[in-house]
Amino acid sequence: MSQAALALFYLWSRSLVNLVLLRLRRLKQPKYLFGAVLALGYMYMVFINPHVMRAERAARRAAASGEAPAGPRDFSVFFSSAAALSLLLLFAILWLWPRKRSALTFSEAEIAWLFPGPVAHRTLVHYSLIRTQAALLFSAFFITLVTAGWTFIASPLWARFIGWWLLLSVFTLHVTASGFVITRLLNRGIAQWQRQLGVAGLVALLAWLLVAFDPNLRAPVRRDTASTELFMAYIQQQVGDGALYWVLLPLRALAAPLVAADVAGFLLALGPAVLVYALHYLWAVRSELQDREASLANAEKRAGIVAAMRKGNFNPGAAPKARRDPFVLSAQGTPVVAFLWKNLLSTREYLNWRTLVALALLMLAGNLLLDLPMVFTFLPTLLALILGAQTLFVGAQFARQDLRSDMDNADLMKTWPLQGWQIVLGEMLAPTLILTGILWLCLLQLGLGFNDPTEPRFPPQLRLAVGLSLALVLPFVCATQLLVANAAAVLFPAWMKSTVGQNQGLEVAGQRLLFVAAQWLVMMVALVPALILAVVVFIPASWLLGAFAAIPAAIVAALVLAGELAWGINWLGERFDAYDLSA
Amino acid sequence: MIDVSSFSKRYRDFSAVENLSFSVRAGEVLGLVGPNGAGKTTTLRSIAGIIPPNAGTIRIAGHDLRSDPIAAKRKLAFFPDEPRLFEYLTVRQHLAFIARLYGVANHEEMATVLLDEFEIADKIDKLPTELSRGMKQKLAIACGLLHAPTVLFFDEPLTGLDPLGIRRMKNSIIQRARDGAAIVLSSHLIGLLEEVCTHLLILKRGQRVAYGSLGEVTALFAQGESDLGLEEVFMRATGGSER
Repeated sequence: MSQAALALFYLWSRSLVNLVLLRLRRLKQPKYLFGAVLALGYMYMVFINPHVMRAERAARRAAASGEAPAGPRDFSVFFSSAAALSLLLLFAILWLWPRKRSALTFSEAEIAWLFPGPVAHRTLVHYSLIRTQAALLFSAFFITLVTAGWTFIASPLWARFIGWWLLLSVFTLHVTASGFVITRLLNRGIAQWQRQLGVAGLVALLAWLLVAFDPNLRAPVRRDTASTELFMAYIQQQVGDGALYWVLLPLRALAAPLVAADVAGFLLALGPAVLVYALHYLWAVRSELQDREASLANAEKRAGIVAAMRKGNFNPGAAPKARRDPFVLSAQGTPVVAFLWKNLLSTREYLNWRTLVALALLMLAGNLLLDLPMVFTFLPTLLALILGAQTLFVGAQFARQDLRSDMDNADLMKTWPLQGWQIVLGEMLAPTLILTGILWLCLLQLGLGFNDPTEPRFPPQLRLAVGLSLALVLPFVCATQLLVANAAAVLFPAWMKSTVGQNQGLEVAGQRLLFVAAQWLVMMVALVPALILAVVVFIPASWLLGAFAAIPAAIVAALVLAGELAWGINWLGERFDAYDLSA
Repeated sequence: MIDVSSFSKRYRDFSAVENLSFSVRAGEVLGLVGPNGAGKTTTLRSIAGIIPPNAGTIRIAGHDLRSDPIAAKRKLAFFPDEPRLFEYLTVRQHLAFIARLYGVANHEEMATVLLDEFEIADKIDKLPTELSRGMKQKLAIACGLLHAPTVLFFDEPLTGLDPLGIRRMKNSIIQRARDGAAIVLSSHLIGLLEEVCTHLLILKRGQRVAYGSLGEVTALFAQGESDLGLEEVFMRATGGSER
């Protein structure tokens, strides 16, 4: 090994050790220790405890019946085929997806010290590829933990860990190598669409060849989808024989160690899998070396992106573009609106009222005017349900165009002639509007999508009443969640800062969990008086209005929440005014 | 315009600034100077309303910063050493945003004058990422001056500027003072203070070491010597060390 390679190995290994030590040392701080305990507890309850309980239940049942517990069914063969097929699809998507120029990622310090240093470029490439191993090993460990309860594959945990690591490594290498190839194509003037067209043509040709010349391949018939077992048998028959078998062979070989039942089987499967890994590795190295100059330029750019991400900019790859004003901002009037205007400018261009109206019209047209088959209304409704639930539960953690993004400018904001509550309210407006807009759209689709004439439980009047009621309450629910999130930014700036950007680790995940839990706890407390008063109004009103009694009840709930919000914003404003930046 | 009386700031057991009093009148430029850790930034940020003081009174253009902060802040502008700009707002949008915060009715006319003065009128639709360091500094200053403040605070105003930018910044500070503004600037650059300031406040370990017009402060440490440079005054005042 050359001196340079040894130096790079030293850099990598010491950095890794120091990172681990740093993570351990920071557990002295209560915020990290608490986060770590919380995350570990969460992982145990979600991933490990269910398996332990299940095993105990099975053992008790077996003891009670006096028979040996029935072993789980083994779907290892199917699983390796499904994994290979999934990988093939992922690779196809990688090539078809619009992608930017890519390069090996180096830190600013690495660029400053390694690039001008006596280090061969090939060594740098090896270093860059190999150092991703720590993250891959951790990911493999985590996935092994999550999938430990998969009893449908017979492999022991250690084989699964190595199997997942191989799968993840090859996938990562494929992403890296394909990125280099795409970069080279772009540098040679081959545009995204040309490459996508070419790849799509190749995929279509391969599909045609398979269908035309492989008698084994056939479309599923009703019987194939009658049960899970029959469907799995159909898939296995399609990919386990004929041309598709050979197409999938390398990827199936890669997945084989993951499902190996014993040491002998594992060792037998390991050779071909390592070969696939090695070929991918060589491909990545060769692809990078073929366009070294562009790669170096991109590496520098990537360093800037990494630095931006560490500062909490989640979309640093895309340089911001000047946007037209979301609305005309006159110089007169409440300054609160200025924050809304500013923060809307920092969001995605498509997040505006025009998109909202266009989508609403599309939903109305699709559901009311067009006689679409069930699948076309069911899928959007299911999506609306999922998106709506996600927005409601964790939306406030993602819509951060508020104080959380502006706390770095807190000193400047404190020189503005504004009261704290004005700043807090102004900052909260943009994410409240965005989350409300998304939730209203989801509500609209849900209201329209549950239009099944054979289902008497959701008559139109009920859907209209519930929809309007929720539409009235949801903006205040979103604002309350955002108030909690913003309060965390002001009251616990160090905690909040440690959870943004690229700060990683179990303890940081625990802190994020804590924020979400606290947000919902406060939310629940805030909702109690609103719900009590809403029920008080609903019961007598329902005698007169039926389902539409939900609307006055919702108005009362909204008013209660608005009152709580007003108090909360004023209180947080006072905290912001008193917030000592130097402390 | 600026009246600071018995101002103190403590961080737990550490006293950053203690019992500091000074005033800056219209047309005066006060240079805040001292070794690292003397309390310059704490003082500047406190009188700009960023850091709450532990004791003392700070009045900006006649308004008490504690009891009437909004009125006081309407009269002041604070310029940090690094221009603070919003990544997603163009030059024009920055000015529109600030105009709304301060309610500047004729902001378009004001903005035109400032953009011309700072020679960034052709960058009106550019984002901060498309501007050089000097241009960003100019935009930050244009934003700060948009509401015609009468009290200006500068923290290391020459950081990152090229020689031309430095010359323009000095002229701009002098011109604002001639127009009647009261200015406080904190800097380690003795040359800048010598050229721009009318008054000097030397701090050391949170205490006032010297305060007065340039002539008065120089005389305090001259010990009969003539043509004593400000650098030497600074060395004598602070004992040539941070401790």
